[in-house]
Amino acid sequence: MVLQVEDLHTSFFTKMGEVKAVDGISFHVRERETFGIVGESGCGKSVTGLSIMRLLPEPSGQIVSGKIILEGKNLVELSKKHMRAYRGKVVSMILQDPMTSLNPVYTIGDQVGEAVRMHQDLPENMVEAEVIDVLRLLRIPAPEVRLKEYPFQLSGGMKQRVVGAIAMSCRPRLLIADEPTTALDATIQAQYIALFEDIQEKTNVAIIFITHDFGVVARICDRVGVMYAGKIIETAPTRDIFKNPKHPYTIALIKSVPQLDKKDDRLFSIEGQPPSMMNLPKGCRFCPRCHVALDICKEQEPPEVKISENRSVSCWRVK
Amino acid sequence: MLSTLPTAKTKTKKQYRGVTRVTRVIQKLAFWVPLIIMIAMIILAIFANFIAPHDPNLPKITDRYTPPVFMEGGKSEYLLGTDQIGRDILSRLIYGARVSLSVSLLVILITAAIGTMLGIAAGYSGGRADAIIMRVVDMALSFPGLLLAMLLAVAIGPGFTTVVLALSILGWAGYARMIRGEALRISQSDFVAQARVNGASGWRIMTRHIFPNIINSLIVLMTLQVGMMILAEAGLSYLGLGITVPTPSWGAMVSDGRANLDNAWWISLFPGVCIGLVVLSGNFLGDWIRDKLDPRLRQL
Amino acid sequence: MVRFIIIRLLQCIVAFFGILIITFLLLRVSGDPAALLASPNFSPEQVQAIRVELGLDKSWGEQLGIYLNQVAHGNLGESLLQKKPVITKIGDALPNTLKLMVPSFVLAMILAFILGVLAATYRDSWWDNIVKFLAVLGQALPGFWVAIMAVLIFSVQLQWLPVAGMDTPANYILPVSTIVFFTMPGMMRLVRSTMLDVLDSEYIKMARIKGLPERTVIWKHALRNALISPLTIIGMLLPGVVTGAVITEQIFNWPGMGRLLVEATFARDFPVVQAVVIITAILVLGINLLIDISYAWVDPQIRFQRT
Repeated sequence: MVLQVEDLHTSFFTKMGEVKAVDGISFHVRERETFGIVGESGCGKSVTGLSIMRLLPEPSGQIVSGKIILEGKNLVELSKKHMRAYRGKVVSMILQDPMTSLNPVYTIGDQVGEAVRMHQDLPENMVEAEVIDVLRLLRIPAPEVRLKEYPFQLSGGMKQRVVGAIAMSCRPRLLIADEPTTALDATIQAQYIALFEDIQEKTNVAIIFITHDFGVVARICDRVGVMYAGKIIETAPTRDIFKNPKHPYTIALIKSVPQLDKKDDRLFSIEGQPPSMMNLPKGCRFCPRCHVALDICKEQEPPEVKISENRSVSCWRVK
Repeated sequence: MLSTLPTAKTKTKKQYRGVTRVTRVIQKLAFWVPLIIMIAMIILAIFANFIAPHDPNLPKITDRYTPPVFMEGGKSEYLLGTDQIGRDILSRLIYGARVSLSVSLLVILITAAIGTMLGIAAGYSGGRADAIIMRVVDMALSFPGLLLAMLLAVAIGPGFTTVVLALSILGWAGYARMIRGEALRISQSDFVAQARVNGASGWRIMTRHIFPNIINSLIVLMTLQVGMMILAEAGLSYLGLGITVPTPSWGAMVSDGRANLDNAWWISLFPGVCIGLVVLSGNFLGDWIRDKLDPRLRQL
Repeated sequence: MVRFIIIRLLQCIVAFFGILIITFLLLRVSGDPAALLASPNFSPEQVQAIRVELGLDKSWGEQLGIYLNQVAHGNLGESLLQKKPVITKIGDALPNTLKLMVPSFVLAMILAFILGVLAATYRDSWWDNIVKFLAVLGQALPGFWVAIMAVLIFSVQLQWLPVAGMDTPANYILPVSTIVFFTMPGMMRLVRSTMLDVLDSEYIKMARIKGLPERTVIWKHALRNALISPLTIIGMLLPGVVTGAVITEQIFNWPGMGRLLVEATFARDFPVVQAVVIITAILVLGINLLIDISYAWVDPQIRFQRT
């Protein structure tokens, strides 16, 4: 087990009041596994990633309670200094927008090398070789030339590879990818996803893949957790969730993925809006948008039910 | 399996909430106090002849260097004391509001008009005209207005015209720069393209389509300029380039008191406080209007 | 890069001629330039000599030619008050001004950057609030008044610091503080707001993801980016600095260009005023050019631009 998150609560304390962005989620990721976190924007999936990195915007964002156990260490309890030693070395992250993720005033070599120097005790003359090595890992052509270039000289796809190289520079045990393909063109997207599999093959890294796109999930994830309004409402192996989704929200999400082989050309969309995180409904969070809601759904939150070794669902209809 | 964090975190939460309550009160004050000061100043400027207790220019040598009323030796007829030739400081301050306000309003109107026209023309037409106008703007922005004021003062003598001219000749550039950016943005929008398709003339597009859309930014910029213009006018009057004696102006009054710092500091102190208060109020109101009308302009 | 500098240089030269022409025109709109250039005790022959020298009987084009030729030869005329070449007066005054302005401006900029960066880093802390308060105050209070009040407190009342002159280091304290007070707040505010934008950016998050210490994140990754837009407006601060110099020198009786300018203005000593304006213009343009070059150094995108 590389990562185990237990009952994580993360809130933002704003002028309007407390926003419970992540409201008690638990999941785990194994070595060489890709775990997908899927959900609509604002459901708390990015906040989950930032909580693991302990990079919530200060002072408003705070982990309220819960455990994040990475390689046997609870990250929540680490001092800032200890956490920094973990960042980039044991756990790393790729952000959504490659256009702004690289510092415009420093060269690629400088930005990748910085991470290498930070965590690996290498003599200075070895750093460049190491940087070239990691650029190769991300299949960046002509790495020796790229070293001297500035971000604005690269294309979007190439920038995102460089960001990947920074994240992978110390061969971390866990990589969090927060919508890394959303800002890319469709063709480049496919290449980039293939790259992840390749990297995993070579480095055994565990990956958390955060996305809103079930299509991407199908292509890359081994297991997936569906998030809604701060909670994971269903966890399952990818194959099972497509074959037999349990939670009404998951069913709706999968229906809304465009599929070429289906005759029905109308896309399904979920009616209504996710609830405001400021005042959540009393019962099930999905209840107001649910077509199959029961009376109990309005009153009580459904408990998480383990239905098999690898699957669990939070819904009153699933027993 | 719930592990709670150390209590230090809960404390920060409370602190955070406390700060927001204080800021909310401050935000309210930051609107009302400046507004009242500004309105008071406008009333004083307009009705100076009725409000001022004394003739601002009438010297009374026997009463000179009278300290303000709250000090030993102060007289109740001169609330803020008298200057080196016995003129009532309060009355001079009230009349001084006229000078500050009229100069700054006039300059703002002139510069905003010129700057808006050139800015829209540059932003809409683009190309060479734009490049030339913007280079002139850059030059005007980096040229010290004081030097121009000095040249004018020598050439045509100090006074109202010199101050207004000196501030206007360079002042339009700031408007032109901002308006040009706005005009450029708007002229690329769909409704301008549509108007062009419908055969509207360049003049019509500039006046009917672009101008109404930059009014908010223009108003924001103009209010933010009030304080700056009052400061600039005060600076020029301080140096003696402005309104000539005996007409009172705040900047000149500060200068009058300089020689008497050791025995009559109040001559310099009060006009400075007035300038500071009014400029501060102008800036606060400007910020408030900007936040209401056009928050994008935060950077200004 | 080289082309960028050449273009800027050419623009500077054009701007310089623009300023020369403005001073030339101002001299003429005031009526009889000879009267302006002559002191009241000049004999009619002397006034006539000025007329001939300026070629006032000739066309404006020719007059402009004569004028530009004189400026090009460093002939900025003679002071009407002291019958000295203007250029020697400036030679005396300029070093004094630079002695005051250069350290003040550098100090103001360093302070503005440090305080601005710290305020942004510790956003909404008491420290940030103090910085914001100082900035608001500094932008609202007239500098000349603050300087006079400082004289009142530190020189007249407490008698800690000298009022005027430039002989001892203590003489520098009040003037330098005044200029810092003039120039720092605007810059500090801008540094703070750009720094906040930069700190909010994804590449700063990325730098933290790498596990870099906060020190490196702020002073390496953020500062260099936060330098770009404040650098562009240093040029726009220069007018304020010039105004500050004039007022400060006048208050503290500092024998520099500013005091020379004020004295000359009230003596209606046009050649001196004109010369001070021209020299200052050259300085301002030169500094702007330097800023453009350093700007290119900070932002690689400009360095690589072909235009």
